[in-house]
This record gives sequence, structure tokens and C-alpha cells, in this order.
Amino acid sequence: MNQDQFTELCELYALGSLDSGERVEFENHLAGCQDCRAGLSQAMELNEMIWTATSQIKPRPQLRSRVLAGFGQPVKERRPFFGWAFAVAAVAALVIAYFGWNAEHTARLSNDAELARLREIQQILQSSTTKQVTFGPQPAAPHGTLFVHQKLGILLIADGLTAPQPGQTYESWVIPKTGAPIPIEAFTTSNGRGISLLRSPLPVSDLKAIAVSLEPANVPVLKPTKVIFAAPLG
Amino acid sequence: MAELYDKYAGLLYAIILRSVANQATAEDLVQETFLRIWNRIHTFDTERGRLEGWIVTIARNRAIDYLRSLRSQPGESTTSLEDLEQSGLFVTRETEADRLTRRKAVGIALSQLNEDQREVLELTHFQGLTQTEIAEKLHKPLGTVKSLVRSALKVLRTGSLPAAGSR
Repeated sequence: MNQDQFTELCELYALGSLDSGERVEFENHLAGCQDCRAGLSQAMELNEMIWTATSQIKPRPQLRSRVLAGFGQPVKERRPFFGWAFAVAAVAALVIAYFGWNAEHTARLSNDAELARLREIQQILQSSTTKQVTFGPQPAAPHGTLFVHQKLGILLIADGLTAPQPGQTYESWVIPKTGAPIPIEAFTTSNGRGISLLRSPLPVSDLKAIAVSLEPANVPVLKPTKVIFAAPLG
Repeated sequence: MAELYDKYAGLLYAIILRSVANQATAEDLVQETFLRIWNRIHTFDTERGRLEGWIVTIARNRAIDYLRSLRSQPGESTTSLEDLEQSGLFVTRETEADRLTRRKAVGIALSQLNEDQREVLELTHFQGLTQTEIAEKLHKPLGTVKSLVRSALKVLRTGSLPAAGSR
């Protein structure tokens, strides 16, 4: 490895993400290289800047009590506890993480339709009449939560999805109590997570489940090609 | 500690939640983070060091330690994350204003990454995966992953340089 290659490894070493062979080689070099020691310090700072680019999320107030109680500090609750609000914050965090760093998405925020979509998601999450339905509790298989609002629609947050192959996409479906599945929208995944807003053409009360299938990308679908999972609405 | 909590809890919670994607686990790890800060704050030179950097690094490392324990890889093949929390690594001569400017520049650089670069960066920075693990996860050749990581970091490194910032 030459000096440039060692320099390039500084950030990954600072993350603790070097494979063992490279790590040993880098550490041996680091001991005698002032440039790399300076590079490591700069890499630490760059990594911090990347982490701190994450939007802040307020944790539940009880956590403050819990943490401070652990140090024998006087605990003063700042606001009453509203469980629903914090559940919303947690889910909002997942949505933010899903869309986070997505420059394409950020660019699309100027698009009115996309803004409207985000507002719909926000409304579903914030509504006191939204019901949560979890599905697929097995960690290895697709699992997640449905946020079901009778008027606004259904928000699906699914984990454990494998990235679709090139030329394929995930498609969300609503399954009526009677009649054929209705395709809703194509969506992709990020780190195994997929989020889909299912604006059903039928009243939610007429639906028995939602489903997700793998389909050829950019091709209209009439029926699911390969169903990945179906989640009953409870 | 209450002041530290009020100032940093939102940021630490967000970073940890982004990694572990579970509210209860994130709360446990935030508590563990503050405990570690409390136990080691006496070793930190707050006059010369970047306190926020140190705190954020501790939080991120707790999340990665947790994820690695789930993957049954408690740091055997990777750098000990504890070694990367030594206060000497956080010494800086920059002013707060300079750092703020650079931070904004990094934010801009992040938005310039393409989808593949963002994906590998998420996996290195927030999931703690090595390049080999990323290659396996994404079913991509190791060389491709290394190239993606290198190019992503180059964009950010260049973007974070003061001269290339948003000043």
C-alpha cells in the first residue's frame, strides 16, 4: 500500500470499519506516520459532521428522567407524557431515516405532489384515530407496521425486504374483501426498509389486507406477479 | 449532566435510532452513552477538544457495538471502537464558526452523493459494516464497493475543506 492508499483508509479506520487485514496494515503504518495521524484526526471530524447532519429527534421525556435518575440528579419532568405523540415521533424518525440523505427526494420536495404526499403521511401518523397493525413478527422475514386511517389511507412501513434486482420494483396492493387485488404504487427499499402510502380507491372498511409483490419496473400490472407478503388489516 | 442531556439528547437519540431503528433499544443506548460520558468526562480536555464530536462518536459507537453484537461480530475483525473515543483524537484548533461553516459544506456535499454512494455511506457510518460485509449485503463485487466508498468519501472530504465550503 502506498501513502495515498493509507490516507484513503483514514475515514474507514476512524469508523472501525476496516477489514482485519487492512486494519493491521494501517495500524502498523499509523504508528510511524505523522501524516496519517493528522489524517485520522481529520477523518474523525469528517465522520462527526456526517453523523451530526442527522436531523434531531426529541426522545420521550421519561428518558430524561431515567438518565438523570441514574446519576442521582434531581429529575424534573418538562411536560406530561402522551404515549401516542412519542410513538409518532419514533415512526417519524423511521420515515426521516428512510428519506434521509436522499438528494433526489430532497429535490423532489419542490414538487407540490411530493409535498402533499409527505403531509398525508404526517396526517396519518398524527391522527388520534389512526390504528397500528403489526405484521410478520419474524425478524428474518418481511415485517413491519401498518398505520391505518379510515379516510386518509394506509401507511406501510416494512423491514426485512431485500433490494429488488435491476429492472424490478416492489408494488403495494390493497386486497378487497371481495374482488381482485388493486395495485397502488411502486416503491423501492433503503437498507431493507420500504415505505408505501396506500391511497385506496375503496373505503378502508371494504379491505381485508394489503400485500406487497415484486414486479417488473415501469410495466403496468393487473395482478401480483410474485407476492412477497400479505398483511391483514386486523 | 442535565445540561449535557438537554443539549445533546435529541442529536444522540436521532443518530442511534437511525442505526438501530428501534425506539426502546435507542433509549437504552442513549442511557448507556450518557453513562459512558459521565464515567469518562474527566479525561476530556474541554478547552482543546471537540466535546460534541467526542459525545457523538461515543453514541454512534454504542449503536454499532449493539448492531455488531446482533451479527455476532463483537469487534473481532474490526477496530476496537473504544480506541476511537480517546480524547486526544478530538483536539482542534478551529473556531466554532469555522466548524459550523464546514459542517454546512458537508451537508451540501451529502446532498450531492448519488444513490449508490449514499447507500454505502449509510452502511459504513450508521450500520458499522466493513466493505466486505457491504459487498455481501449488496451482492456487489468488493472492488465496486471499495470504489463507491472511496468516491463518496472523496466528495465529502473535498466538500468539507474550508476553501470548498459555502463561505
